[in-house]
This record gives sequence, C-alpha cells and structure tokens, in this order.
Amino acid sequence: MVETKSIKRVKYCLLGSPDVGLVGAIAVSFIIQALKMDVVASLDADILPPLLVVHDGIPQAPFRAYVKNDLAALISEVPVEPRTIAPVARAVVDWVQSKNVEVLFSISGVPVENRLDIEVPKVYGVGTSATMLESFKKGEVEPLEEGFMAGLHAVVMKECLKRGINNIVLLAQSHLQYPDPGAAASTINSLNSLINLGVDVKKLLDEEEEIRLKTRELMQRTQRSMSQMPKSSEQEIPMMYV
Amino acid sequence: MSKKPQRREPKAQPITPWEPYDLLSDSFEKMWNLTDGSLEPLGEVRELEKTVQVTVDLPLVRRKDIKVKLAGDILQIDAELNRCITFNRWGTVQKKCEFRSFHKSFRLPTKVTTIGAKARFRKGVLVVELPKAEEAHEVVIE
Repeated sequence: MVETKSIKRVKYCLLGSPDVGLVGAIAVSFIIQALKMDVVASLDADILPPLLVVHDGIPQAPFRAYVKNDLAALISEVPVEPRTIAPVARAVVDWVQSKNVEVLFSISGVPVENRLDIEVPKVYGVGTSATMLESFKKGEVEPLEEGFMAGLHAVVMKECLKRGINNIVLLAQSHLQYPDPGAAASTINSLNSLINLGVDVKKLLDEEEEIRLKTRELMQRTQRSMSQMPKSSEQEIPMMYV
Repeated sequence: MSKKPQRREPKAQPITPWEPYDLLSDSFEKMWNLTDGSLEPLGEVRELEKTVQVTVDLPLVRRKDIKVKLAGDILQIDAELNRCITFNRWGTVQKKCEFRSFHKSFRLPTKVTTIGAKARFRKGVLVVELPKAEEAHEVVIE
C-alpha cells in the first residue's frame, strides 16, 4: 500500500471488493460517501492489471484506503483477479497490522436461491475467535455454522488467523449475479449495531434500482472473475463432521 | 543413396496477446447501444429438468412495459425504463447519453414451447419458465 497521508492507528477497518451481488463493494462505497472519508493510500504492484480509474478528472488506483477518525475502509473498484488474491490479501493484512486495527470487517454476500422472496436479508458472520463470535449478538448476526468461503475474504481471514488479527466476515443473503443494494444495506445495519457506525441506509434503499442499473457492467465482469473460483461451493456442506 | 538428414523446423508457437490486455478488453465490453438508447440487462439461462428458466434483472421497469417474445430458440426481452436515464459524461465517449429501454435476446439451449409457460416479475427481476418441447412421443399399442 502506498500512503499519500500518514495514518498511525485506526480502531476498525472495513474491506469490500466486487464479488457476490457486489455486496461488499456497494456497502463500503456507500459508507465512504456517507461519512465523507478521505483517501489515504492505494495499492500498487506489478501483478495488478494495468488500470487506473478517473473520478472528477483525477486518475486514481482502483484499490484504495480511506480514513475518517478511527475508521478505515479499503475498497476495490475492480474485481480482484484470482491469480492476484494471495498477494493482495497479504498487502491488505500488512497494512491493517501496521495500523494496529482492533477488528477488520470483511463485507460480502452469500448467494441464496430464494432471494426474491426475502424482504430483509439476514447477515451471517464468521469470526477468527470466540470473542468475535460473541460480538455477533449485538449486531443480529447469525454465526455461519457450516460452509465454504472462497476468494479474497477467505485468504484475508487465513492470513489474519496466522497473525492473530481479529477478523469478522459479514455475509448477507444475496443474489449471486445481480447487484444487491438491499443485501449491502443489511450489512451496514449490522455494522451500525456492532461498531456504532451511524450510517443511515435509507438513501441506499431509495436508490436501489438505479444502483442496480449502473453497476451492470461491473457485475458482469465480476461474474467472469468469480467463475474461476469455487464460489458456488458456499452453498455446500463441507465433508468433515457430516 | 544416403538420405539427407531432415532439418527439424521449430514448431510455430501460437501468438497469444499479453494477458493484461485481455483483462482490459473484458473490462470495457459494452452493455449499451447509443444508436437506439438501449441498455443490455443482466440475465441468465438455466436448463432445468423439465423447463428452461430465464432470469433477467430489470431495475426501473414497470411490469406493463415488459415484452417477452419467443421466436424459435431465441427469447427476446424488451422493456421500457420508467424514466430516461441520463449520463452527462458517459464512459469513453465522454458525452451526454440517454437510455430509455432494456433489450436482450437469449439463445435457449433446447426447444421450448409457450404452452404452459409462466412468468413473474418481482422486485425488478423477471423470471420466465418455458416448458421443454417434447421431442419423442410414446406410441400406444392397441
């Protein structure tokens, strides 16, 4: 991570990148805008795709870090390609560790077949320790008892387990291949309860259909990237203890 | 007469473009048509045991403005947006663009029939179920 503004320490860090239903990307991007967070760092490496994004005429790296008070947010505007997941995950955890983050929250979705029949998506959680699991009660987060995790969040969690860093993965029930702002709103509400985030999701829900329309291309690109990963395994029960 | 040893030509290697450019071209695949102001919706086709299911994400669309047509093995979806969507500096063309509708044609994996076909539209997602056309008919022996 290349820092443009030096940050010594943050209490909590959020991580979102385009994956299932774009849940993490939509949620973290909405939080960054709602809290008017400032960009402080970006990810740079030769293995990343040769891409820059331009916002208001300013060229920026697609993977950036934002900070406001004791909260940091890491967001990728493009899907993290499977071959770059491991080094990206290590860079993320290195940065989180260097800022003495108390808890890293990874935001994502878990695909459910009957999403159209669900009014308010449930949020499941996976935590690196018993203390993390205990905190789920505050945010109406249901512990994910059995299942698979794949992709960036899985590798980040593996790295956090190795280094003894607190990591919680929040997974909202979501569409697999359609952008799902409703699921993103559920994860934000959980964060509101878990860490007093104070972000109102009304605007996100009001603009839900417009967001779905505008994120079609990103969703399609993400789907292509996810098809190279065993993401569908998330709905299966692992072999052990069957 | 001794045979001249044959010289082995090195095998021609297929020229493959540098991978990052594949990624880039994928990134800019367009899902819009500026000529008729239409957008391509996200959608998928699933072949189930007795039906073919087509699901299409149609945000900002009302049920009455959706048209579904089947022609052979092509299912065509047309839908009007409930308001014109304007982008002031659209993508690489960097000009004002307006979009008024969704349009997409899906090629179906097998023959289907509209007899017994069902469709539902909920929360902006259209789900069309088309029964598979039976190719073989049992002949009853009298």
